[in-house]
Amino acid sequence: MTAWFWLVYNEVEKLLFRRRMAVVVGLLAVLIPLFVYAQHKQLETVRARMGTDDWRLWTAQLIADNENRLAASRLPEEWRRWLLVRNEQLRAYLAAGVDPNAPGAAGFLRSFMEAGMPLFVPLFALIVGSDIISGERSAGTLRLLLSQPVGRLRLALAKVAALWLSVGMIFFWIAVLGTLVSGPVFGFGGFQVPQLVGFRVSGETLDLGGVRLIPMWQYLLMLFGLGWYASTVVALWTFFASSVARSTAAGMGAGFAFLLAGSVLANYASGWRGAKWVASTNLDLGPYLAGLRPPIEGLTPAFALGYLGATGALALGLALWRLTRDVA
Amino acid sequence: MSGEKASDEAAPEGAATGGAGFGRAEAPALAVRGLTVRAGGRVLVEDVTFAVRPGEVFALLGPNGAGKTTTLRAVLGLIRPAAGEVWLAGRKLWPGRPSALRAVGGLIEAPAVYPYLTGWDHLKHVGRMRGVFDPAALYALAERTGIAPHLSARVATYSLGMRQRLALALALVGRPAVVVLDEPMNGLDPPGMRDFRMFIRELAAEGQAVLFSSHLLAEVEAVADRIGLMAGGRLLWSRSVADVRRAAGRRYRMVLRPPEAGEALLRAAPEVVRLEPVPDAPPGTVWVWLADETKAPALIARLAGAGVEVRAAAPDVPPLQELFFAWTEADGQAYPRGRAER
Repeated sequence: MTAWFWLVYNEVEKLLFRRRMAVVVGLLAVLIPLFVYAQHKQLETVRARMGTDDWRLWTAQLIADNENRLAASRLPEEWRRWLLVRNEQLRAYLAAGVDPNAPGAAGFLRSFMEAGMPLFVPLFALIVGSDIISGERSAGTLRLLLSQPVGRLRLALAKVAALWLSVGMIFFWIAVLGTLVSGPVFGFGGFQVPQLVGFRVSGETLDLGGVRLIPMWQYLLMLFGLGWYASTVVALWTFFASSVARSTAAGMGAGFAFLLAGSVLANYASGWRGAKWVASTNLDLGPYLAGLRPPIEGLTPAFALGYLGATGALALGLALWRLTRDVA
Repeated sequence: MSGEKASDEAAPEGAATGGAGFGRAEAPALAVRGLTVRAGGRVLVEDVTFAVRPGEVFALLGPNGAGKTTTLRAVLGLIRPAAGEVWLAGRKLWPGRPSALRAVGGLIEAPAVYPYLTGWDHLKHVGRMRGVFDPAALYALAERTGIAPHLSARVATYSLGMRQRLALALALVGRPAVVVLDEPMNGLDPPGMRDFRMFIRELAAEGQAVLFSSHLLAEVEAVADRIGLMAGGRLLWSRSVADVRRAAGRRYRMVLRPPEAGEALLRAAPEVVRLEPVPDAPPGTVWVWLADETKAPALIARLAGAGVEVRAAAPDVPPLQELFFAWTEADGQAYPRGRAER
């Protein structure tokens, strides 16, 4: 009756000693300053172009820009709809007296997570999880594990739990490093800035009935929660790939290609509604919270969350089935 | 499933091999019955039955591809048999529960260890999975296998021999009733082999059953109590080492004149099991295997009576290695499935 806790403990220890986590934190430590610098530069450019620091003027300018684009007759129909919706939203921010893009560490975390959720952040889950089984298989240590009196299902579930915890650790490090690096540049504030949530799109109009203000830290918690959900699903896909792949490289390559396919489809064929059945196009969950256009036309948050959950569960089920009858 | 039922079912195996009674203490540490393993449409192991008592060293001997490793893997719970049963210390492993694996520890093929962990990490890892949390008990195993001085180093820095010692220590965590070792002496230098033999005998002396595989008869002869000969996925026979030696002793070398008449007579004689010309010897020099050595004088007398001069007749014990080739080649041809395995 070995406590399952110790199996998870073993797996977490291996994960840490394998230095996968160190690689991820190292990557974040290199890339976050890069993003901070990029955002800083972009802010400077906008500021120079607008010639002002007043966010009200920026927002009014943005609305005017959108109106101009709407006047252009050759705009695709779905773009038209979303520009209309977007302007409604910007007017709501103006009416509430809230700067949606107020600079600060909190704003940086928000934009980092919004930009990273569909590809960049899940990639870390892929890095951490890709060799969790295939690595043991190719090194022969799977034999050591499977000949222990613990039961294969419990062992596999311990690996999943360790992977899930490591996804949590990745998000922790993103929050810590993101704050520490962007703070000195943009200021550490912004966590109390009100954010508008609850936009609901119905047809061509934006339903503002459910809109309310929440502080930024709450918004960030929700956003990171969605990101964690998306990355957990990717971790489950990775677990499946690792359980069937003969080599870690093959599993990781396949996983990366699948993630990339989602991003490419969302950019390249956002009008093709069928693309939503490619599970990785659903990973971008940030727009639903911000009330922005979804990555694929016709996607709803319920579908995205549900479909991701279903594919994650399927991947987990298949991986467990495979492992309980694996030969080592 | 109750332990009582388990020992009852396992007991006949003990009775068959050791003539022991039905008492729990006499139950074999390991009982394999009718084990059949298939993979990819091929039969790797077919209907293998044997048992190992506590304190006994049992060696599976056979050429590569005979099914030895597959059998050991089934005993370690690594491969699911298509048919048959594996009992470990009175608990059923196949088909049954993984908790039966508590009674077995072993290593298959190359020592499988994590290069990024230290030796001590490994012992703690396996200890957690086997419910052994006492550091002193784990350290004692490291001392016993001689890896204790290197425990704090990462395994990436270990030599092959050190990895093997570590893997052995891991196999012994929790003092399993059955220790399974696959080709344990591969890659050991002569002093290492001698140490290892002593180590196996020590385990047996302390009441652990040892099951190991080898394709080297000399190795098996030096350490095993009993030998099971495998070829083509089947266990051809299992006998005590003493019996094997006795069987080998029934070979005679004879020099006959005239050769043709003598060989014809011997071939027709009922007490002759096998007849072969001795290679690189003058005509008429043959090896004669007798079913019963007490029949030798009568046979020689009959040859003399038929006008065949027996110039020499002496027991000629072949090196076991030679016997091994004869056994496995003859039987391998009878079961060509084994050829397909590799």
